[in-house]
Amino acid sequence: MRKKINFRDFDKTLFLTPILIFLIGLATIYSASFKAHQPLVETLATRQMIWMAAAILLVFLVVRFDYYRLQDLAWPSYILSLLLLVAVLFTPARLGARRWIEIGGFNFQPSEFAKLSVILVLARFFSNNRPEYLPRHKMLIPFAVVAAPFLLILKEPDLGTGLLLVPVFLTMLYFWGFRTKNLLILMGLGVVACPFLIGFLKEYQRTRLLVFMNPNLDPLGAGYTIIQSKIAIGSGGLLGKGFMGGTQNMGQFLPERHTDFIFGVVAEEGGFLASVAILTLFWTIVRKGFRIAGQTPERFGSQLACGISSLLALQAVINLGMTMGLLPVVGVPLPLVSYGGSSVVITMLAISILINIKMHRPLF
Amino acid sequence: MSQPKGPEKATRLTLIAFFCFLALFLNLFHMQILKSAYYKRLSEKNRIRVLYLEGPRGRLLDRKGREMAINRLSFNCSAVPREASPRLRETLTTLSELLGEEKETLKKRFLHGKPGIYQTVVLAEDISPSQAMAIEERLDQLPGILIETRPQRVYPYGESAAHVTGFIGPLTDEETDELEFYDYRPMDWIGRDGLEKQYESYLRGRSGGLQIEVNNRGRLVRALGVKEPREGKDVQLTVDAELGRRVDEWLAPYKGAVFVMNLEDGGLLAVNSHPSFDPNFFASRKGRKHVDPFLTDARAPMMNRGLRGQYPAGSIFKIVTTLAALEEAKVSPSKTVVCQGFVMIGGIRFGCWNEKGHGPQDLTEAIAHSCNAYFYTLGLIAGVDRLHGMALQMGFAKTTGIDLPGEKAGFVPSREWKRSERHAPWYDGETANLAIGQGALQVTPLQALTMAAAVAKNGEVVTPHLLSKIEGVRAWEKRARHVHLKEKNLAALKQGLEKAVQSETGTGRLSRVPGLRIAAKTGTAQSGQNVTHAWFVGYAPAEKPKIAVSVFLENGGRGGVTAAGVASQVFAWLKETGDL
Repeated sequence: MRKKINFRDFDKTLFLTPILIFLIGLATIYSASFKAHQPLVETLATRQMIWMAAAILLVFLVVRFDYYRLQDLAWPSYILSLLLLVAVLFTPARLGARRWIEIGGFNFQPSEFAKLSVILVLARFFSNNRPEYLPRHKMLIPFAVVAAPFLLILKEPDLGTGLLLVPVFLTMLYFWGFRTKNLLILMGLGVVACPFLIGFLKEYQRTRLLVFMNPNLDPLGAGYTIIQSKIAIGSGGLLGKGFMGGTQNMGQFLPERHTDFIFGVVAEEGGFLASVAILTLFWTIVRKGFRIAGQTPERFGSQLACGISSLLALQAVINLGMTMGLLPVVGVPLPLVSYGGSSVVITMLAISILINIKMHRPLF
Repeated sequence: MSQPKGPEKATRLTLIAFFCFLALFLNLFHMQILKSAYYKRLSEKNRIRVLYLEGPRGRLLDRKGREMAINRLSFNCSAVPREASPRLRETLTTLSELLGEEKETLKKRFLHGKPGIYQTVVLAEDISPSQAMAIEERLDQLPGILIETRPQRVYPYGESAAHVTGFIGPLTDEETDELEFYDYRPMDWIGRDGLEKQYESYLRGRSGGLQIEVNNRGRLVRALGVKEPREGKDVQLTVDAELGRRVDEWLAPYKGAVFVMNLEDGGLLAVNSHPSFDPNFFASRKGRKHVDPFLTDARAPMMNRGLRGQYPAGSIFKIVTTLAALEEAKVSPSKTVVCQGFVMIGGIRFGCWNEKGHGPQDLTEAIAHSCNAYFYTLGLIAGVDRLHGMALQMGFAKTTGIDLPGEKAGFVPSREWKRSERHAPWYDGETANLAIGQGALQVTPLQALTMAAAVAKNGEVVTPHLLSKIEGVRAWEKRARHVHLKEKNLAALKQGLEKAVQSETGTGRLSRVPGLRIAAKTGTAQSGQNVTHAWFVGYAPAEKPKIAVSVFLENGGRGGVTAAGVASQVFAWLKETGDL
């Protein structure tokens, strides 16, 4: 009963929305990393555009294949990502962390790839097993699947990306049919384990968590960033200060302003209008994603769509919450907006899988 | 209750996501619409200042609590460029009066000074308290000017303790990146050498800061955030700063090192190397402009000769030769050799330093007179392998493990080394040379000290150290390993060492101190240049050793004269203070 590929079912909204988000991001990256006398080709914005071009080609490639065949790629890609995560630990540290593998002048971030492959494996496992009939010991498999990359990513260290896996996993568990009661017990256990986990954190990560509770604790470090980011967002007002007109941005008050804290620049220069636009665009993708998850009768596709949507939703919410000072500064980029090639490619890949599921899903 | 179906669960998840987005939306509305005026004021007027507060480092104290490294409050006059720019001319005129500096100089600093990450430029460094007060009083007329205070590291004992304290220096950009994770900030200073480097993790203070909102006169309106700086921990040492000061004087005519060890636990009483440098220059930005002479001086004042200098051991190595022959080759201490002033080995004449010959010598006499002929013979009986083995047991050819950075290991030649590195067999002549501490052998004065201490302590090789207490709590556990030595062999060796000082013909007689039984071995090592290196290692009192001393003088002449002389002064001082 599988349908033939038909581009009439290609979801244009799901394709164009991320491109719109990307364009807002592109302008912001240009503004946030602006250096006088720097030729256009050398700017970060140009690099970002090259990544996006590659990513869009990838989208058209991916939608041609039936997503169902991704099942066969799930485990190989998972194992590959584990290998890459191990390999990255042997690269020279940059800014105190080992997160990037350099390939031909471009830096690739294995943890980005790992997020997607974990979702693939979980979707495959959940579609082949039902919670009611699953023997107890097999229940450990999905936990192990998440734990391995989780620990490797924490080792890099990349707290934000690592922690992101946990709520994605919980969402997929819920969607699979894991009892809500058990889910709550799990979360409770997680909370209890927190004090022990904090012992494993690096000192700066611990400070960041403490600073979230009270930014005044560290006005020169993480607290400084939060205060400056809040000023940037708030001072944007309704209409913003205009492209390249942000004083927090151009005055270089806001650290990490083309990466994790880029939303501060969007909100300062584009004002409430631009911030709400970003919010609405992300919401559009997330809503569509969950709808696809709900409407796809085939279990692998439905689980996959759920995982991808929750990943996108969480990244957006956590990043925005973090820049507004509502959540701890854990270092999660804003998908498609923050500068970073791996993130752009993986996000577009994820969205193309969503489009694909919608195109190919069997209709009864 | 039945589980909800797929579409229903998707709807619920959508709902959760919706509420998250709604919360973000409402928060944005709150920040950008309702409170935007507040944030605009903060951003437009740029009235936020970030003040860096440096955490003072812990002090370094000597064994009696004398301060060897402290902090003094110093004042910098700085400017916040964006606040100072509009009325720069008037401001600089006033400042140049108050500071007594050229207006043009100040202007140059203002324009070319690299604003720190917190946007202040230092106009005048380390100004006097009265100048700081004068500026502070007139801040109303000086927009954008502020007085920053910081703890300035001071080393009261200067050159005489430089090789103990070491010094601190600013972080480089690369280090800032790497050390950020250990909570270092770009403006922090870090231990660069000596104990400042070794115990950085205890000594360092944690910097803090203030983020404040100021009015258009530069006065504080409200604090947006405060992080209190934290003081570092005080580190107490085993060294005696006064002894160090005296030793530095005694060493003044020479290049060399004097190390003194308390035999009780291996704590060092003196760690001196001469020539030395003034760490105070290195520890301040002003002073760092004047450190080049130290760095380029051909006499290498920056090098601690006691643990980074490697030299031929000369006759002090005869202690190792003695132990190798007695312990491993079963030679009797009563063995007698007739010294004719030379020995023929493999057809080559190996001379004794006394060309007339010492005549018949037993072991104690041979040690006391440092008779080369006797030790050539002893060395040949023992053989290179046993000499090499005993040298390693006594701690040569590896670092002693002292708690100072940059220690060198030295080198003891062996048959294997000769074969693999020089592609040649080992010759008896080389054994003879090694037996009197010449040839490829290289030792550090600290290793020589450890050897002397091991003899004094009947085979206990202790790890020398400087750390005693951290914040008043004992922080060093004695570390030692034992070399098994027979009592009668040790007794013979020690008798010889004592005779070297007490006998009228002993080589170490110039180290004598009235009322103190000293045991010692001197050495005069060929340096490859005209003037020999002078060595002295010894301990006292001979009957119940408490202190070991090692003196090394680079191109210092005869060990029995110059080195023994310096050692004698050390022993006499220690006797005076009641340590002996």
